[in-house]
Amino acid sequence: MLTRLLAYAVAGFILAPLAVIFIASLSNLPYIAFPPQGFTLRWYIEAAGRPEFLESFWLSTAVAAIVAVCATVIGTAVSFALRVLPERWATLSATIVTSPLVLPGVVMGIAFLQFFTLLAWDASWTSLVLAHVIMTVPYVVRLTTDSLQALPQNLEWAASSLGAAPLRAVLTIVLPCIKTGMIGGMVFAFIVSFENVTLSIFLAAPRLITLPVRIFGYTDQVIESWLVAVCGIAILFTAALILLIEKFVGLRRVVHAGKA
Amino acid sequence: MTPQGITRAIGRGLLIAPLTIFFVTFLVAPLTLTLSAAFQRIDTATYEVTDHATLHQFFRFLGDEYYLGVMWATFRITALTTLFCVLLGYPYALAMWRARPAERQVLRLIALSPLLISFVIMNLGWLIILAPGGVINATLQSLGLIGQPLPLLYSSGAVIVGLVHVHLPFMILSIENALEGIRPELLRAGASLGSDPWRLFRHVIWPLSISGVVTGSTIVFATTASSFVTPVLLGGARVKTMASVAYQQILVTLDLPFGSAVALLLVLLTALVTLSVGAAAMRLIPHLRLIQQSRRG
Repeated sequence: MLTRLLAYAVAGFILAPLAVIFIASLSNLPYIAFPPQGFTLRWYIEAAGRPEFLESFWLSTAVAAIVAVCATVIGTAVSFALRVLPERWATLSATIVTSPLVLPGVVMGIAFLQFFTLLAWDASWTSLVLAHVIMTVPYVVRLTTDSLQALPQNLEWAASSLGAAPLRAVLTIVLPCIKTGMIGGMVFAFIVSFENVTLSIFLAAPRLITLPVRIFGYTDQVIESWLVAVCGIAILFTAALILLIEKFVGLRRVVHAGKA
Repeated sequence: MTPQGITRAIGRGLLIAPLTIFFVTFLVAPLTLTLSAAFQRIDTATYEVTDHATLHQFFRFLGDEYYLGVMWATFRITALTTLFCVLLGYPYALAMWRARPAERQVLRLIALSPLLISFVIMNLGWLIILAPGGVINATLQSLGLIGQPLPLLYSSGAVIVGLVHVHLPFMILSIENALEGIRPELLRAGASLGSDPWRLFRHVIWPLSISGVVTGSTIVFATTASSFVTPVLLGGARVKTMASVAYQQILVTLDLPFGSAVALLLVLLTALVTLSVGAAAMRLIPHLRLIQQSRRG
């Protein structure tokens, strides 16, 4: 009973910042002050009319969508490659590919900034997408490797002994079996890219400011209500995605795969 | 080689070669670049590299009292964050493990939310709570308990609150994972031998779940040590951590070698602490190894 009480207190702690954001965004005052006064949706309307916010929102969504697709394709290919490589090489490759999960975001950020500046690719979509893909591939690899391991090794052999070409065996037999892992990885890659700030802040440029970086940039000034409404919109957007994962894959599986 | 074997070998090559090129170019090369930058020295007026293989940047950090203070502050904030994550995460994971499926589902969604929503947004929520005109100060003032708003924001306390919040999911998941590994027979056996709930917890549940606490602490420590967004947002100019110094050196001062060296030092120090804590835990809690072996088997 006591633990349950404590757990609900902790749940309150976890939800407090979210609750405060929604309460503050619906208050009638143009800046943050407590207690809130009145009830209005006008900050949401104002937020939606701000061009710089809209630009960042579309940038984040588009980058996250491209990243999700690329990371899923590359991550799944990596899982297949790990399956056919000799064990020693497979372990080494897996360590390298999943290293972005272990290395600090600030190190990855510095590395990409330096690398893309050297190539003169900085301040471009390409660099942002590539950095996010490297960052999210490990999640897809973990999930699809999990699904692949659950399959019997000889499934492809059975298919090819029945006359299927290797590629056809993979496409028609194996891929459908690991579909849930791939979908889970794709949605998770989208979320990780969408919420990322550590990499995006290093690669930001005037026309390349993702939503979290944009919000970060405003936080050293007086917090205005429309900015809080922006956060409210971002939370609702992510919540919808989370429900999607929960429905199709089960959140727990996805998040466990993401842990080191 | 049979024709089939040749096709298979070509197929594998077509799969592995592009992947190798991709990851060597976009992951290994950037990291190598940063590693080598840490050993460079630049002329701060012209940004020309004057030396390619020097330990100058490391000595610059370790020989400066200010930076040693930053290092100590980083350690203190990280250790306290890890401690509070254990204190808050353990009861939560325990309650989650005991709960019925529907309640467990809800608790899990709540626990995971900080992981899925950008921590800039979460930190902004804390900013609203801790600010001079924010939730806590406004409440205390309207109750007449304080006259002037308390300086809650821009302190290491605020940073720790923000960091505990965003890192709690890792701790909760690790502990829950360990609890799930406990065989139900053990609990039934303990209960049928007359253990009351406290003794059952003390002698069965806690010893068998401590591996989750160790794993969770390692993950929380490592990720907290390298965070810079929360310290910048909730700590302001007063609270500096190694990662925020690295970030500012690179994006504000434009001293890439120094920033790289600080980031590299951070990785090394974090690895040192987490590995030695892990080794100490193995030594102090002999049954940890057994638990890990049985999990693997």
